[in-house]
Amino acid sequence: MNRKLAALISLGALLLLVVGGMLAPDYLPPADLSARYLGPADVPPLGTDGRGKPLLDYALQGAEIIALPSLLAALLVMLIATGGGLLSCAGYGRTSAVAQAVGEIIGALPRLLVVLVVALVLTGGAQATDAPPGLYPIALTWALLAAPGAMDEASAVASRLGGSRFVEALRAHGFSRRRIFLYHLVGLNLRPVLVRHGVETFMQVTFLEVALSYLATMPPQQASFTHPASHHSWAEILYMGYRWTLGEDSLHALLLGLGLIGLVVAVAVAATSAVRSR
Amino acid sequence: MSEILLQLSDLAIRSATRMLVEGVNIEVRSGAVTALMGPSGSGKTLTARAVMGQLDPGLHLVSGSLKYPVLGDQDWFAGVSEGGNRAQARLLKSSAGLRGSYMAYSPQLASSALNPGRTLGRQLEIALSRRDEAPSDPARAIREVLAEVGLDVSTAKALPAELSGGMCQRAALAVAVACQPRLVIADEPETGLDPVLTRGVTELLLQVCQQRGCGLLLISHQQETVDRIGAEVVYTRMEVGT
Amino acid sequence: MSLWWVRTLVRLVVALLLPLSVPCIIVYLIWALPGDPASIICPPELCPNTDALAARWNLDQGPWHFFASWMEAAMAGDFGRSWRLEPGAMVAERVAESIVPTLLLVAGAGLLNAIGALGALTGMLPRRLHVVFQWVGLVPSLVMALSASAAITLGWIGDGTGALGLRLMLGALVLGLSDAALYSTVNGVHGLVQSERKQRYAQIAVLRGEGVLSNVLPNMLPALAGQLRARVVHLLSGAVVVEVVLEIDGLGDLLWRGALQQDFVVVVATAFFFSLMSAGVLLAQALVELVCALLVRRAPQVEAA
Repeated sequence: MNRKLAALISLGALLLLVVGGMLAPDYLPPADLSARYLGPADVPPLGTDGRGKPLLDYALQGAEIIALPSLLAALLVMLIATGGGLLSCAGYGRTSAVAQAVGEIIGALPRLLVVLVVALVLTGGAQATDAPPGLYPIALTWALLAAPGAMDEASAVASRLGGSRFVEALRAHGFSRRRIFLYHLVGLNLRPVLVRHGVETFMQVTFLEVALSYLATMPPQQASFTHPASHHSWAEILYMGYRWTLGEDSLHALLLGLGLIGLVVAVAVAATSAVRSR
Repeated sequence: MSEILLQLSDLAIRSATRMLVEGVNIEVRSGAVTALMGPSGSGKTLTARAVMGQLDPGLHLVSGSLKYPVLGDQDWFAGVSEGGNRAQARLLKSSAGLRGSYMAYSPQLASSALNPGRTLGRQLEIALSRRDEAPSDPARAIREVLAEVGLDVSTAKALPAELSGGMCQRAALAVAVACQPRLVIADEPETGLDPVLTRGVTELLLQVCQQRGCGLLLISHQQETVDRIGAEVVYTRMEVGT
Repeated sequence: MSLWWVRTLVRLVVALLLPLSVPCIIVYLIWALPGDPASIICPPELCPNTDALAARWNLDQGPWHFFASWMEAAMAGDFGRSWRLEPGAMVAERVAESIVPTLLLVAGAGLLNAIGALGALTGMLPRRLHVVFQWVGLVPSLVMALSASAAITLGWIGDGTGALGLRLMLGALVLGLSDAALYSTVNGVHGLVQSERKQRYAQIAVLRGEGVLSNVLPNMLPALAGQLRARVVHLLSGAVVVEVVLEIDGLGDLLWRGALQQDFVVVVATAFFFSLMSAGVLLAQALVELVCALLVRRAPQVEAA
């Protein structure tokens, strides 16, 4: 795929998610049983569910739940990975070794176990303070668990370049430290690794939210795992789609659910293609 | 009359873009030295690998005939030029039994050519196991091979990283001759060594081959070395823009 | 001087501490929340007599006392009784029932990944399949598990009764393929082998008449063990979603239901067993590193004449 086209697709899809999330209504309209299971042609653009509520509103609310926390998690992973790469080139061998040892320890933990424990604790905290925690704590926990792997790879790339010798060589050519670290190291060499890990985290956090919400809503008890009942996760659309396979709901819910998953995958695949090494 | 161990005729190999080697003819006899000379990039190592039945994927054998007359009249290159990569892979597989037994390879820059995760003793042990008749006392055989190349028995316990450049070159020679080959192919053994060591290693190579009566194909770009040992010389030429 | 043993030692220490520290951290997290643990676990509007509840659940003497007494009982095989999920039921019995399906599920997915790794290692797996695994890996485990569940329910696979064996088999397939599990394994092993095969010593080994794999494999075993350890931990983690969707009564399902119901004792016990399994994998990695380090020094006994 053309790199510019890939970048455009990736940014476009990401923008769609973020802007969609910003346009999400606070509450879904009341049920209208006369408008059940209407297709996109009758209620544009996405049709309605079994209670006559527009599927578009579900999609926008789901986007609101995932877009910013996933993006923040991705940025955190990229930031930590950048730190790992810079450490390897800055000659702080011992700090780098300690960071790797910490990464080993974190890497030994099953991520979902940690996330569930965090969710359990936060739900307890939310009951105590009466404030739903949202997806941010889970997203950031996931990012912290994913960061060591990204840091390791960034360090490996920096080491392959020659570590501190790479910096010394470019210094000898008259480049400033800032230019070497920000442009030569991060911009030119670490970028593919950073972006790949960033978008992977973005995708994983999104799918994690959908999975947790789906599991929590089986059978439907709440609209989202991390939000108050007024907010609906994409999991609910997937649940409607799954019910269609059992002959109980509409096909366009299934297509929409898969389409939304596809949109997130498109962000990841296109972004990775856009920054791949020449 | 000495036997002909290797007969390579009219070798021509090309890559997708240019001719790499053309018109090379080599004959190596037992107890004699044949030197393959040419400037860097003229295809000496490529020729040596071809002689051992290894043609990398992506390279194309344009013409050539490879025979090991003491083993029979078989032309090992027969059908390879038409068969492409598959035929080359078949050649590599069918000639595997000859490498490390009938013929042995002593590489240049030996410190990176020896397995870094095995002690020298272990590498010699593996080489010994490829002899036609496995030695009844492997420890003694290792001691003899090490003594032959001038290495102390304590080096058997050392990893390649723990040996100096000159010691590594001797170690690589020890691994090459441990299997008692009839033909030794030494690829620029002097590379990366200082002049004193260069002379020492080459002398050692000649001495070991003469003692064992095996043929030596010496790849070198040092005219002085070749003149000194009085070898029969084959030249490879650098092809330009072919 | 080589310090290869430092990482192995760190791994051994982490493996030993993991099953102890995970329950400990969970206990302290609960105590770190605003309010007392008993009212967090069962809010006063549901359980009016919080003090009595705290005394009964051993929550009234601080986190260390709770953790120490829980651990002491756990060492004797007593993981307490469920508070909310199945009130009064012995957690040890539930865990014992759940652990077998989880192990089977992870073993099945692990087998799939091991076959992929073997194919990548020997070069027998065509490169075209890597691309297929990559695209299949983009499908989230939830979506793939739902598809499997629908296929079972609709009778497309099996007789429609959804026998446990079938669910385990499909679950292992979902766990082994989704979320890039198989692709990461295959790609990781392939990358590792390729970079080692490019080393000069490996190319020269061919000219010496030796096998490439027999030369490179011992040298890359520690890195390979590291990669496979990460994959197994990934599979353990992914078991939760697959088990819940495919209704497999495994440890992941128990953890999930315990977390949803805020059954603290169930969560601590299942987390303990998950961390025990992770520690086992970590221990295996450390063992591989140790054996490799010892084998590297293997040399025949050669005495001076």
